[in-house]
Amino acid sequence: MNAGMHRTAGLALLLALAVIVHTVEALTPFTAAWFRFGFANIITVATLYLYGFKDAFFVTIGRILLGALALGALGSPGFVLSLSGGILSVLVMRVAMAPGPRVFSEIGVSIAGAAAHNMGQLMAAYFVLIKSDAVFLLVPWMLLGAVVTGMLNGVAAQALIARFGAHEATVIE
Amino acid sequence: MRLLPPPLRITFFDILLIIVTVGIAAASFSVTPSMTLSGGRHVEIYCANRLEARYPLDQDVTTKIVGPLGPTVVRIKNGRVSIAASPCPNKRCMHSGDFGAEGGALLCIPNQVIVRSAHSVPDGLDGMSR
Repeated sequence: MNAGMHRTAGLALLLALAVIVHTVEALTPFTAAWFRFGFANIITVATLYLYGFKDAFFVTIGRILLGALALGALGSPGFVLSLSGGILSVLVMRVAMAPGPRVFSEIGVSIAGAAAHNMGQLMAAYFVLIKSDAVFLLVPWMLLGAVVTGMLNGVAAQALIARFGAHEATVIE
Repeated sequence: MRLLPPPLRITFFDILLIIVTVGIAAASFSVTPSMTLSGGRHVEIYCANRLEARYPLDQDVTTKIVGPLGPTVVRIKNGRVSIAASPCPNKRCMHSGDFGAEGGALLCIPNQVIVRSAHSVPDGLDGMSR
């Protein structure tokens, strides 16, 4: 398999995985806490490290669009929140990883992405859905949620990058 | 392929980011309520940025507010207001608890419903709904 085809197949695999995780998490009843874990961000972080910003952006947008199609939520308020959070998240993660791995590891990048995701959602909620300052009451909860979910997803992303990266190297050899 | 998970790698700046984010969150806990809320003996219910209903907290009421996803049921009982039912997918609003005269707000972002405390009604009405 040539390098181009191999890259396309790898990205398709990551996109499929992201859509499955996104959809399953959305369908899982989760009533104990105010936030979701955003496990699909594990795939975004891994794509960012394995393939770069453009492909991570493509996988994120693709995951949100295909996930919304699967859930019948295209154009819904939840879709608007996902899209705004997803775009801001991948942009901030790109900036966070720019100085190199000695500054932020995958864990730091993931926490920055989770915080940006949650703040992007709140901004979209305020500017698009509910023009009320009461929305900002959620800021502290969203930030604390971002630290917890960002750490968990960052650790998982490290493992995924190591496994996926090792597999990629084996195939290319 | 390696079967064991890789060793956890975390940097000084990761830890600094965690501390700063938790610090901002802790500060927000004290700052945002004073910026956005004040206690009151009334409750205002908004849907899609429009005031739909206003009730005194001492009146036991159960009302339905119809948002884009369907009816959200708001209940005032024994001076405390809560969201009893919601058509939103995650039901986070229903699990946000309740509030009374001390002030507070309940949000259902998907159904665009906000329930928040308010001071006494300027025109002297005990309650109104649209």
